Amino acid sequence: MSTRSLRITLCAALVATTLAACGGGTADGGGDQGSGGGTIKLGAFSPLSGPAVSSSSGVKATEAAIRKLNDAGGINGHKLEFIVKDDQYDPAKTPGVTRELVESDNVAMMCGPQGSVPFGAVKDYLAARKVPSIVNAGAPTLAGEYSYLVSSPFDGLGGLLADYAMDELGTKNIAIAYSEDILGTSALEGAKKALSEVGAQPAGEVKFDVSATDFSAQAIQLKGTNADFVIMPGAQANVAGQLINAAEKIGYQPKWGLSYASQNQTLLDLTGGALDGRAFFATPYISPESAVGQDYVATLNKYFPEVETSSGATIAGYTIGEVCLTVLQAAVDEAGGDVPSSEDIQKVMNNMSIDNDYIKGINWTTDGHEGARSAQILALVDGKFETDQDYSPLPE
Amino acid sequence: MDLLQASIVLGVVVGIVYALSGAGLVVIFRTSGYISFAQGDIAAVGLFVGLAAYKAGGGYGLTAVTVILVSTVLGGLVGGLITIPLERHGHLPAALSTIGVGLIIGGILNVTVGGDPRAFPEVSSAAAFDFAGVRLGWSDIVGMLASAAIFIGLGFFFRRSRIGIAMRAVNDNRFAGQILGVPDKRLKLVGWIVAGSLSGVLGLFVAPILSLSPVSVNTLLVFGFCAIVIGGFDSIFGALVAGVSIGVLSNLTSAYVDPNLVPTVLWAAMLLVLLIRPNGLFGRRRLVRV
Amino acid sequence: MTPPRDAALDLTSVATGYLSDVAVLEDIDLHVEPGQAVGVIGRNGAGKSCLALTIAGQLRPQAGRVTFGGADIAPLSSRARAGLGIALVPEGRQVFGQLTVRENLVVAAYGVGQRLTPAAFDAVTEHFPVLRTKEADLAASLSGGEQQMLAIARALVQSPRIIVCDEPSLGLAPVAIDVLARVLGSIRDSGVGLLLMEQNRGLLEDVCSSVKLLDGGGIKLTVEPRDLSRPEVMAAYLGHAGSAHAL
Repeated sequence: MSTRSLRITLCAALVATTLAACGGGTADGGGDQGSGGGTIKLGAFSPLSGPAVSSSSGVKATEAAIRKLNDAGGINGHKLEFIVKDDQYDPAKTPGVTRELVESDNVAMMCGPQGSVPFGAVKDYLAARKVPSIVNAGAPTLAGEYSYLVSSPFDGLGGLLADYAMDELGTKNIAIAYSEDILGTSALEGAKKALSEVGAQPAGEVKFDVSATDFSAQAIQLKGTNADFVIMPGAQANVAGQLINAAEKIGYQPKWGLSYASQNQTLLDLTGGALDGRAFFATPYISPESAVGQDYVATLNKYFPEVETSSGATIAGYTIGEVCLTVLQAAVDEAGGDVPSSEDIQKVMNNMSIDNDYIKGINWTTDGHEGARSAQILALVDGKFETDQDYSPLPE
Repeated sequence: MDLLQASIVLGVVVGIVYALSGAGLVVIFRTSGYISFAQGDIAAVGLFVGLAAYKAGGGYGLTAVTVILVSTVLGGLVGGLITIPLERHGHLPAALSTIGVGLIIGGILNVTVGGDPRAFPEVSSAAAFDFAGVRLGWSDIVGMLASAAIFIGLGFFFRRSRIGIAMRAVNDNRFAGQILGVPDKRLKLVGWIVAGSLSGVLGLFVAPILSLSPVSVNTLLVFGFCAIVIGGFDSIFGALVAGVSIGVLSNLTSAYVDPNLVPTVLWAAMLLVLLIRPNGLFGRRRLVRV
Repeated sequence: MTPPRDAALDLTSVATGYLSDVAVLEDIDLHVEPGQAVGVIGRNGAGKSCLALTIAGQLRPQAGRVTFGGADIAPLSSRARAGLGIALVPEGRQVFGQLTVRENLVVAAYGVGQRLTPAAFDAVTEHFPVLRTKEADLAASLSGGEQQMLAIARALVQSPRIIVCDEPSLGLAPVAIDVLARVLGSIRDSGVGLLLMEQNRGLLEDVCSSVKLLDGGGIKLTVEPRDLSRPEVMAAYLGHAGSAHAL
């Protein structure tokens, strides 16, 4: 395996270096980036092929939101052009495609580039080019002068799940399972803090390795805590599914506190119906079963009927598209009805609060570019993700 | 519940699967003298075709047969058309070709079916009985019985059957085999075909646990590789004992030390065995002519 | 094209070598028939192994005919030749070291599409009682003489008509060579043709009815075994210079 990844990495690095060199040659020096007669150019990178191709549902949903607005006449008559480039979720490829977007396509902003690790590879470059980004990723460290987050910080989601278990499920007997990365550890901290506010301690803290082939040791440890509720919002569906199945195997059936990261069909397939009524998903995004969710599902089905609409990643992508459109409407107003520049866009974003049907609790200022500080809890009922606790502010 | 006891029982259950993945590697090693790194990808193709059959309404039986059949045929094709012909340039090019084949198959799978994990059916989701606080399902029981049958069968095959003995002979001294009229290329092909079907069987046990993606069987083969190094490259029995030990060891490490240390502990154990017993715990010391 | 049971091996004007365009041996004529033992003597590098490998099908003759029972066997593989009854006991014994004695014999039988029946095992090991007692030992654990016995036993299991032995005495103790001579003699008397490549004159004298002297890329002389010690034969064997210290 290690030989394999090494070879892939080397090949990818070579290709990326070549691409980056080519991109550098076609730079035109900028100047009037994005201000092309009646068209607002937006860019994003996302895996469109390769091992992570399933994550392309997010960027497709972003595109659906944009196309819907274009079909309704655009913003003050300006059409939006959304250019998506394939980086295969490979941080060695991301810089090359990002340079193309910025220097050849002259995008005014990045709308929903995918993934914490790929975005981390180009965050400084985009800042140097003064191109603002609304990022589709969860790591709070990605926020910066030119990068803006929509997804809630995971410490907040961890805290929200702990409060939900105590207030709604009536138990303080809570364990936390986490992986040793930024999402896992911040969720752990958030949950512990929420428990300590009421003078409680976690029943156990169990660490897992996302690349493991066997989760039975973690399942045994969790069972040993005898907790009624297990918080692990940082886990993706395949990891969460394996750990839950390992717990089922030893007869341990707690309620599980998850997040939009694992909210999809893969989790349901892996656990085979065992989770119904026992899984809760903290998310800043809408439920596909809600009234506004029906509107979202209809839009997706119109433009991309093949995309899985109940997936948290798809809903996140669509919401980020909506956020971009909100930002652009304000930016066009700021530019006096003209096509806004990158500068105009950043200016409005530095003073923007969003509280609408799709997302609540975004308060961007010059200094703060964090994601939504309001989230809801969805419960898995008959294979559907339904609102169980309405939007509430995340614990600080 | 007793953490130690459950760790050990579950370690044994998963260890048998590790051992099975090692067994497939031993079969090719015994005939050709190198390891195939393409077995996980060969299994993945079989599993994806099998999954398509399952979704088209085939029952579990048909799915399992499809998986094993496709892996068997693909294993034979890779060995017969690519790797065995390359052996005339030496073992290293042949072994490297298996890495190349693995990467190509993996790449094709990524483009065609994508890398996202998906659920794979298991033989039965019903619980069989509880043992030491662990609920063993029928799929665990079937898995252990099938593994036991495969281990006994392979042991018998290499010890008792003419073809199995001749396969070992070809690896031992190819020239002498040719002089005696042993059809060495045909036997190597048999090795690849058997290894292909074994990787299909392995995939049937792995995919329901790890979920199916182009890399899921490969992830597990790392443990299989560890098992045969620790157990001894030419010992089927060694692969069994080492696989189970690795399952228990990694469970105990994960439970009592740190889950992130599991690979470290495994590789350290492997190096230790190599330093103390280079031919593995159960491998026979290679005798040289006196 | 199945040759008659009492098939003779004939080489007519054969040229051969390890590379397709460089001849090590030229103009070789040989005739071995069942029940007859022919010796080939030659110094190291004279081409004895080259000749053995050509007969066994590992090397292709560059010119001339190789026939068995009158049929041309030049295009046949080693496997096909083993099936016809031509067995090679290669130089350096080449036993399967990590297989047991019995397994070595099983593989030999498998090579000609047979099973090693208990009767066949008994028949072969009658010549080599030591192999019977060490039946379950790894071949690599045997002594050099025992390994040579095993290599010959392996050939015998294939029920050959002709056995080509390439330097069987190499590295053996004198007492082992005596045993070897007795065994080869009885194999010959059982009706198998023997082609014995050797440097050991005593072994050739004990077993063979005629001896070819291989030197300078061809057969220089054909002599009676008892003539091997005559000075003019020795001189030819020792080479053109004839200097005694060349050995």
